[in-house]
Parts: sequence; C-alpha cells; structure tokens
Amino acid sequence: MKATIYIITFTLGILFVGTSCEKHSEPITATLTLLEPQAGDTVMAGEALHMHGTVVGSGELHGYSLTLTNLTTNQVVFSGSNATHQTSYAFDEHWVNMEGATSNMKLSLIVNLDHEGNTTTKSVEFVAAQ
Amino acid sequence: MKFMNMFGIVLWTFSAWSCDVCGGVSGNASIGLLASTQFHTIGIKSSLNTYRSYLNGIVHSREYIAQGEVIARWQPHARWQISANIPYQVGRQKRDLGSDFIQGLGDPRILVNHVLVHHKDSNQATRNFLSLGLGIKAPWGRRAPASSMIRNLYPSTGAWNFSTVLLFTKRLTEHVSLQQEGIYTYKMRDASGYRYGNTYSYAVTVVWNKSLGIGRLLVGPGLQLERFGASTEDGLPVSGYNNQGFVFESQVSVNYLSYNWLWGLNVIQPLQQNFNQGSMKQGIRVSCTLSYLITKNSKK
Repeated sequence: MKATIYIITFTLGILFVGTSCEKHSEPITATLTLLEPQAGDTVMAGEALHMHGTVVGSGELHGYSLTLTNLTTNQVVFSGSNATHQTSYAFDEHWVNMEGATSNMKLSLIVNLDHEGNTTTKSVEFVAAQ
Repeated sequence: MKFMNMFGIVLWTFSAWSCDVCGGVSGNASIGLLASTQFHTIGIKSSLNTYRSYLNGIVHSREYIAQGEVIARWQPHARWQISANIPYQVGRQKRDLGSDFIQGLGDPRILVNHVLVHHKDSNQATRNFLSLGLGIKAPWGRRAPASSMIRNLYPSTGAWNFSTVLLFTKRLTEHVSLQQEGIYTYKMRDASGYRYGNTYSYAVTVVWNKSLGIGRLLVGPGLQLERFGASTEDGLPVSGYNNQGFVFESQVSVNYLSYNWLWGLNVIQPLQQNFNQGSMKQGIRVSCTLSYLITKNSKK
C-alpha cells in the first residue's frame, strides 16, 4: 500500500515539475497579419479605410492594441485595445479619411505576449489623400 | 372552444419573409396558425437572432438582432387571407475594438394568401390544405446610408422584396399532420444599386396536436433549408463577400391555444451552414408570439 502511495506521489510530482518547466521554457510567439491596408495604399478624402487583420499565438496572448497615427501632424486618429486573454484575435474596423490635407499615415498593431512588457509589433504606412 | 375542431392542424411555421439582416441569413418568420379561415388575428412577436463573423476562422464580431413586431391577419373570405406585420428592430454588433448599435422601424410586409385546396372530414377537421401566397416587403424602414460599412445591421434593406409562398399540409392521423412549405423571394435593388440575391427556402414540419387542460397544444418539430443568392452592385457581382450561401436548420414550434389566445415559441438551430464564404455563421434563433384570435361572424 505504501509503495503504491509513493509511486502515485512520485508520478504526480514528475508531472507537475514537467508542466511547470514547459510553461517557462517555451516563450509565446505571435504571428501578426495585416490584411488591410497594404503598404503604399491611398485612401481618398471621405472614403473609409478598412483595418483588417489577425493575430495567432503559439499560446495564450495577453491582448492587443491597434493605433492609427497621422505622421504628418503626429496625432492619433484611431485607437482601440482588447485586454482579453486568447490564443488568437481578429479585427475588422473602419476609419473615414477626414484629415483635410494629404497625410502620411501609420497603422500599428501591438500584441502583448505577457504581463512583463514583452510585445510584438507590426506596422504599415499608407497615404490619406485629399 | 368548439372552434378548435375547425381549426385543423395547419401550422404556419415559416412566413414569406427571408429577411436580409446579415445578408439574408434568417427566415425572419412569423409564426402563426393558418387556421381554416375561421379567425382574424392580431398579435405581437418578439425574436432574437444571433450571428458570429469570422476572419480566417477567428471570430471578430458578434451580432445580435432583436425584433418586436405587430402582426395581424384578416380573412375577408373563406379562401382569402391577408396578413401584415410591422417590425421594430434593435441591432448590435460587438467587435474586439468597439461596437455599433442601430435601431429603428423595419420594413412593413403584407402577404395575400389564397387557399387552393381545403379538404375536411365529417368532423370539419382539415385533411388536406394547399395555399399560395404572394407578398411584398416595402423599403420604408430605417435604412443604411450608401457609405455604411454595417449595412446588415440596419432594420431596412432599402429595397422591395416580392415573395411567393406555397404551403401544403396533409393530415396523417387524428393528431399528426405533415406540413411542407416552399418560399421564393425576389429582391429588388436599393437606391445605391446594391441588391441582395434572391432567396429560396423549403421547410418540412411534423405537427402534433392534442387537447391539453383548457386548451390545445400544438408542437411542430421540423427541418428547413434556406439558400441565398449572391449580392450584386449595379447589376455586377459583388467581389469578395457576396452573401451567398445556405443554412440547413432544425426548428421546433410549441403553441398553446386557449380562450382565443394563442401562445407560441419557436426555436431554430442551424445544423449546417456555409454563408458568405464562411465569414458569417448564424446562431440560435428564438421567437415568442402572442396572438388574439377574433372569431369571424358567420354568414352561412
């Protein structure tokens, strides 16, 4: 009986240690895809920009944010974030070009890989025309 | 309660209206008893439809469409029925990074139904019933601006729809009948030139009815197949997501009739679907109906 208890305890211990080690040995990675807009695209005045993309993680991710910045005026014209923990995300947002002057724009997708500040980023630049 | 014998076992589970919400998914059916022309009815219906939208297999938004409707049916003649309804819709799209909320009056609808065949037995219970209906949906509800990216969330499609409904019911036993219904809806284009594809649907329902307590219980499990044609813009096929596809669904209706009040619950669960290149999936649909039956004055 004692031998059985020792074996069960030993097995559980090995399993626990194994799981714990695996958790820390494999850093989470994420594949970021920006389907729209594409680099060099031009969005005419009054037209809607389609911001479309996905994030697929190798494990649980810790949220992401999407930021659209007018590089000419250095102003953020759209931003949004999702703090839910998931292994994948997809977004489908719209922004209407009302900038008033032709501007260089940058869309940035930032994914939180953990809560220690590790992130991965993908950006694309395009033009908001008048 | 003597009219219950007259009532037959004809249950109108799906109506002519293949709604265009979310590109045509949803039968937007009004449930009601297509009684053997014994009653006028007036009532209310509440329904909730749910959808999920995908990008590369990942959910990016959830849609919830709630509707409240006033429904009425008038029977000017033993073989003619006119039904109409006016919906009010509340639509919400919840995305990762935001949400949209659109509400307003939907498109009013009217259906004229002609009873082609109505065989009864010696107890005046329906044996065979065949009807043909023609319907119109008028684009008078709140519609999306031409530039809208959430067109499917608006209560109105902005276009006229014309529908044909063929319904056949055959009594199998004293308490069971089989109902089949085919619907074809032709859709016009809206002011901006956008046109949803035409819709076809076929439904088969087994209707079981039994006297229960102070009324009569009617239960109708069944299956439905809906097919949606591709959308066009200015007569040209829409590239990419064009709202084409099909939905194969199971459904069950539970109705209870007592003292001229008809209570109804309808639940529809998709079994298989491929819609808009898999970018959208319909979830469960639930509707509740309460109608008051007004007995016609007999002029025999």
